[in-house]
Amino acid sequence: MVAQQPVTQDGPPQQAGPAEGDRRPRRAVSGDGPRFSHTAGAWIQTGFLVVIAVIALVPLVAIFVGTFQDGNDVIRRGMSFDVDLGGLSLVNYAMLFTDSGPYFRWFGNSLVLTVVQVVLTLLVSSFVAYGFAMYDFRGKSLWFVMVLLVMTVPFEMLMLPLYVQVNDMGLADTYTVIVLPFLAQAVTIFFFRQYFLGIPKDLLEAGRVDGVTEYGIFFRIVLPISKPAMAAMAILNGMICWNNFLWPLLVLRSPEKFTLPIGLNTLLTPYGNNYELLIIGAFFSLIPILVLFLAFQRYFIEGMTAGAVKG
Amino acid sequence: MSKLRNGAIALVAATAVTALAACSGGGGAAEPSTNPDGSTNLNMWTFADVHAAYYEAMAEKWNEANPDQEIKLEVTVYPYDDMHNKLQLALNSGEGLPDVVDIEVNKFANFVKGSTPPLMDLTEAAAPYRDDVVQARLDLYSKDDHVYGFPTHVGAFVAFYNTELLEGAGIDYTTIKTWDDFREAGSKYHEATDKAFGVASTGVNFIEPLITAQLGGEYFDADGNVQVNSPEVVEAVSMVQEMQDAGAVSTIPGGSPDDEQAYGAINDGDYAAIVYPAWYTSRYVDYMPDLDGKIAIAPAPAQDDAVVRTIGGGGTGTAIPVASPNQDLASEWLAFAKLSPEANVAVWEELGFDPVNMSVWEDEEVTKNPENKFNKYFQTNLFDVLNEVKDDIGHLPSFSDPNWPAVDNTFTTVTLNDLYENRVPAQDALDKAQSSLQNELGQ
Repeated sequence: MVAQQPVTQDGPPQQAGPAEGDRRPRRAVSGDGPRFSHTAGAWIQTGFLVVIAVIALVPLVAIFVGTFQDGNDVIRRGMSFDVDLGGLSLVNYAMLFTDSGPYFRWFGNSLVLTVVQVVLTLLVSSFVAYGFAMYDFRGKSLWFVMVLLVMTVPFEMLMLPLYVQVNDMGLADTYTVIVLPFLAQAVTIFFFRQYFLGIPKDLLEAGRVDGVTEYGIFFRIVLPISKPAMAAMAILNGMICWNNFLWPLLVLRSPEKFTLPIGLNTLLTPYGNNYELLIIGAFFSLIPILVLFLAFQRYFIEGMTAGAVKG
Repeated sequence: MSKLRNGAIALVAATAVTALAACSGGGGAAEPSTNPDGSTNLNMWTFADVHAAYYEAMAEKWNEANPDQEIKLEVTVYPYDDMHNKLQLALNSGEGLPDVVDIEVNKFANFVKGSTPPLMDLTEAAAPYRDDVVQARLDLYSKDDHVYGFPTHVGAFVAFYNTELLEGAGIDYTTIKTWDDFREAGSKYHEATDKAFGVASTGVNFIEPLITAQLGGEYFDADGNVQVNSPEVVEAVSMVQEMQDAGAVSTIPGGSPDDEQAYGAINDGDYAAIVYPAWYTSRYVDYMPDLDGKIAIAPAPAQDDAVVRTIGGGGTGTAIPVASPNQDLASEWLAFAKLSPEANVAVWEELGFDPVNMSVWEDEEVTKNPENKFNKYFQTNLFDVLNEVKDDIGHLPSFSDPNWPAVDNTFTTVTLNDLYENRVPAQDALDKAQSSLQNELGQ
């Protein structure tokens, strides 16, 4: 009896179900241990990410503030947040829009080249990848291994023969030669292939049954469901093209054809550096990449992870 | 499937055709450079806007004087370091070369390596001006008595003294003749003001080669082997360390006087004496407005028994690749644009450099022009100083050695820091540099 009392007081055995049911939400609400660790973990995680974000943002903020200051002064003092608010001015902005020489020409050149190169690279590379993923042909594995091997060859090794070749072909100092050699990007092909492998072949068959051509299947069925992959590759290739320096430098000879990275670098000379234009020019050069990323970011993570796990 | 196969075959075929077309390429025939109006196109590469503007002005002057040999100069300004890389690639491949190119002095020796340098021998083109041009500066861009580049300026080492600060400490800069005088004056100034006097640079290797040359030393032996721990170099470096111990020289923000941070410090009066090449005049005028009227130029310190009083520091050699189809006209124009008296007047008036043609040094209309911004800025006249050391401007052959860039790199990244920041004894730091350079150069 004595032993039964507490049981009765706590609740009859038949109430165990509802009691457990009661206890579950209670544990969730009043269970300090698990909730604390979960919250603390979230805080630590958030704090860590905030620190990383601050580290990433500090240079951006510094360069933004620098656009309102005297360039030489910025360099002289280094990255400092001891900003004299009275000393800030829009002089550099006025200079950028009225007296920055060929800056916007460089900017425009880079923009056009980036757009053209990204669109063509996505098209050509996805074509190649589609072939590898969806069709069977003789020597397919060998060809694919060759594509992978290309990924292991650094550009510095290809530079000299490529330079001689484009000179012999009379293509030097043209925009064509900046874009052409890099349309079939091994990394992009590999990424697209992995992504396409995750697309059920039944979809293609369904298209064929309905009488869609092979190109139609690619453009009307595969491409629309590959937006995440396209977006991810657009961002990556866009960044590579926008920042491309060495190859355009080697093949371009006319100053009016220079791209932004080359042009900005010409502002650094042994006789003194044009920091005013360099700082505000570098800041404005962030904008296209920022726009590209913001436009495609919702696909970006999805595309990257999809490409990573499938295949 | 047949469509598919055809598609795949077409793709492969297209790739192959493209590749083959790329491989077969046309011959690298030189493009015609003469225009229907008889003028000749000359392509030029440089790494500084100011050079480009100067050369364009010189092309105009040339065309006025030589209407039958008109040139159309197209100057491309490339990023400094990368222009030299691009040039190296173009020279290696023999393709896509300019007709004329500026090469920074530290990189010049790289381009005249071997028995048949890819640059044109300009000895003959220099001949009409040779008597008036500072020989040491032609030597800088010469190899085996052949001139491969024309200099832009002398860059003679001089001393810049902030007279306002020195007078405040009771120091008369005109009494500083030798490095001992410099050390004593610096020590006295430092004691009186607790501020720095001169500069021990960690980012530029200038004063040490100057003192080494004054002592008759070299960084390479007669066979071209590196010897950065030779007695003269050790002595030169020890002298600077002794000056640092005495408070006469100190390290400077930015590593050398030619840096934005250093301009700020010098402008603020933190340093009173700068021994640097004469082209530093333009840095004062452009970056140190507060010192207007306070700086006197004097000869660089030198011991009484110095082998040479001063040498040139820094510079740009302008060269013509042998592959240029227009090399004869290009060399004539280049000699005019860099060595002629009219060009050298422009070098002084527009660029503020000490010109290599000494006939200009005597022309008081140019040198004493009261409207000249450099003459206005400085208390003393640069040309008076240059004329004082005129017969004693030497050349440090080590500057022209193909391995000088490696030495310069080691000194400015490691050795000078060891010496003046970490206070490593001179012999130890130089032995370490010697061993590291021997490894690097395979000697």
